[in-house]
Amino acid sequence: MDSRVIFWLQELGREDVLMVGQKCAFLAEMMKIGLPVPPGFVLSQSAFDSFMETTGIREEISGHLSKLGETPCDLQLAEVASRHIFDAIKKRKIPKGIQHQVEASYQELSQQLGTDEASVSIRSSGRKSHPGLFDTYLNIKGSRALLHHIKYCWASVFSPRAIATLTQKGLVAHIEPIAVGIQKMIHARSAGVLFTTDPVSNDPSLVVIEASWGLGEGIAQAKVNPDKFVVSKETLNIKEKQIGQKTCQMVAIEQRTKVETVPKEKQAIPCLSDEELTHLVKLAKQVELLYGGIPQDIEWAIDGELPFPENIFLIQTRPVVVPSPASRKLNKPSGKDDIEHIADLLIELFYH
Amino acid sequence: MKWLKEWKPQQVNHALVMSEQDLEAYACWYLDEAHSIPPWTPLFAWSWVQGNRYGDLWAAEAIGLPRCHGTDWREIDGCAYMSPVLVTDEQEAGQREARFKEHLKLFMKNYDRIWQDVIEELTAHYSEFKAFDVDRSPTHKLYDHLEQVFNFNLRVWALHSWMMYSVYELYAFFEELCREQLGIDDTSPLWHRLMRGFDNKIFEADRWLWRLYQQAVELGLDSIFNNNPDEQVLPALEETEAGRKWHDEPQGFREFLQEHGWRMPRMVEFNCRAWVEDPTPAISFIRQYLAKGGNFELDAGRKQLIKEREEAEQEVLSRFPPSEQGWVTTLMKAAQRAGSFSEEHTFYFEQTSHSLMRRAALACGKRMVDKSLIEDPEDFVYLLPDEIKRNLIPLRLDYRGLVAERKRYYHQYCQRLPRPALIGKLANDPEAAMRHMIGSGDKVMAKITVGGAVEDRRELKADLYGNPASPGVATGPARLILSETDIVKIKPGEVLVAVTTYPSWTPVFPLLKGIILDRGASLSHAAIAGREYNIPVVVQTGEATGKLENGQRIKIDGAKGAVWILPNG
Repeated sequence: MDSRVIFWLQELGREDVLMVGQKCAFLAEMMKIGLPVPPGFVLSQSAFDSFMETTGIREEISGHLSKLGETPCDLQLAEVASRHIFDAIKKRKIPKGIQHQVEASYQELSQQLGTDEASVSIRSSGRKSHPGLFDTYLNIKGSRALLHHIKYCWASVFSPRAIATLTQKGLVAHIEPIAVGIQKMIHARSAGVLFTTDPVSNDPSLVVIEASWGLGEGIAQAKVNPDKFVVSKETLNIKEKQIGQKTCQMVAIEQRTKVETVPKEKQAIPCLSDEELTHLVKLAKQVELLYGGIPQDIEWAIDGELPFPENIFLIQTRPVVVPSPASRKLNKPSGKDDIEHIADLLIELFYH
Repeated sequence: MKWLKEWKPQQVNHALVMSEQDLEAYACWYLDEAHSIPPWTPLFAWSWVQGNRYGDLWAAEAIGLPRCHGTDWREIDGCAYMSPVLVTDEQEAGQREARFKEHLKLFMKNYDRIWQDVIEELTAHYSEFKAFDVDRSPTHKLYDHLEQVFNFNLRVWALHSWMMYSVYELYAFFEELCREQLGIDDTSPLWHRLMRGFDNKIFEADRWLWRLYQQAVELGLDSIFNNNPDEQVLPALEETEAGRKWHDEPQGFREFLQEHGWRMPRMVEFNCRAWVEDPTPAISFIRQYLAKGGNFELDAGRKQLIKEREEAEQEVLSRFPPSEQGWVTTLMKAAQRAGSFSEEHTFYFEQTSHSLMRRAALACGKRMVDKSLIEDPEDFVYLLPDEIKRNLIPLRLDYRGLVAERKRYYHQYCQRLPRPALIGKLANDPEAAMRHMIGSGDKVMAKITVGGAVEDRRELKADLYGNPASPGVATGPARLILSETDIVKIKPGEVLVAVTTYPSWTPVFPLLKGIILDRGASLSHAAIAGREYNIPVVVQTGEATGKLENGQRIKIDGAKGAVWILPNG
């Protein structure tokens, strides 16, 4: 009997971060207090481990990495290794026990959503949040495709960049296992990000929202010039509205996504109503509260078909990344004494 | 913790024996596993907790360690436990921080001069102590000598902690910077290349012994070494002119012992003889060198290591923006001193001070034996300093019963292993205990008591996993050393397996192909010396001495931190 590797979001909580990664544990926690999170399930980190163990892929990956030697290799070599590893993972079969659990859960989710083959989003979820490092796959349909994309998610941890750092030690185990979250796909009319602090000025009394037409990936990949809204956290007053020229959008079609041109008449009008905007800020305040008042970086989406306010969904949240002290103040001001600078940095890094 | 609840100090009691009040007043006590396993004799345990406590508390105040008033120490049955005394007042922490910053600046600017001054102060006192005739002086003078030597040991610890806090802080800071900026830490091969190619005082002994071996060959003395048991080699040499020359000439064996013989096989104990008393281990090493032959590897390989280090320096620097490389170089050079300092400090601090303390107390033991107050002069290790002094003048208390009881008690507690790594309120919550310790900002404690966590690397399919401490791959028969007196059994080409090693062991390094330790981190003795001898070292395996057997063929990979047991034959 294979152990259980799938958990529904509603079964989980933040204490499960080691099992299902930060992204999914946080989503589950949000779901618990009734925040609008798309329904779905999570393939735990142990499924990744089990795949690595039982297929023998761990040794194969070790082999690829050992060719890189001990020294940090350049990115080109890492890219080659990454490609080999990706291909190797693609070729391996997911262990039967896991496969069956995925298929059964997918079927159950589809039933809940009243369809034969639900369209889902697939996102990797590591113990720590690495913005933009792992992959997301949208609009996947059918269990065959789902299983393929789960493997792509797993393979995404062997990105060239991750490998370049890894080869310092030459060890596969330095790769942290990841979980994979599978949720109902939101066919978004608009989507974007929300910060519960001003990420530039660090003013926590402000909420900053960036929004664009279509799926949120457009903004994440910085391909469009989004609308920007600044809202007062306390009064919910809209303090600033900058409407961007949103020339393209990402949309879901068939089994994939594509980028298309936004009709001229929609390009320069706000993609969020004031009503949606304030509702979104209210939700974000709850999320921030849930995480002890630590400023959050939230991805959201607005469904194109559902009525307000059921159309608003929270896709993920993570603490706002503050640059570490050393990278913030590493540079020595000209004319400053070396030793003075070292002592200042040391105190800053170790004692503040 | 049932055992602890039932535990009562019975046979040995002094002010720094752990009390119930101590357990309540401190969040957590951490076992000094690196030094106090196996458990110590009562006198040494007393000396260690007294000395470290005084030194840590004094130095933390002297330099203004921002978050920690130093470390407090207690003894439980021959083992030391320590606990950081945190600074809880934010305003005070801020003031200390400003002081600490000034101290670090001063220390970085004047490191060489400061270290030279410390060495001079220590050696001046040591020469005076060494010149004292412990066996022929009147008893009241011996009493005075004992007081002086034991008191000076407190000063030794004060200087020790003062230096250690400063040196380790800079080392840890450079490591943190590299971890953050370059993604490497002290388990990375690049880091190891960066930290080697340096000489230190400890190697002087190895080099000198090697020279003595070469001279023995030149003088045709090999047959005397080869045809006599170790303890009869010196008398046999005395009988030949060449032998006397080898022993008495400048830079000869006698001078070697005077300079480097103030060491005991277990650096942190009083219960074994120093080389000045019994040079047999040194003779044994020379015999081993005869068997091995060849060049002194340390010097033969040094040039290459220096070249590799310079390349590693360039590599690390090139990954910082050109505008920052100046100060990074200054910091790197400060961090690079940590290895040499870590090694040679034991020569100036622990090794010499401990052997002088032993010498003074042993002389007292001899006087008690003369009056039949104890049976064996070596029994002094079962007595506390006040008890020794109480019976020195006048020499009249029969301690035989007391010593017998203590001895029984000592042998009993030596069996009580393993000792709990953590005791006190946080004992059942190791993560909270680690946070508590890290909160103190005490880098010495973090590096010594914890070592790094060992990562899961099952894909290597090894039999043992530890932390990489010196790169390289080697195969050879395992040699377990569980008692310091066994180090003379090591044969050329073996892989040393031990709980930990001490700088007093370095003469065996030219014989070894690799080292595997149960404990340790990048600044452990075996790690530093192993890097210089360019042999692989794996530390913090936890169970090497339990899992490996003498003579077993093993393969060690010092860059990956893994050990494999090979099929024999």
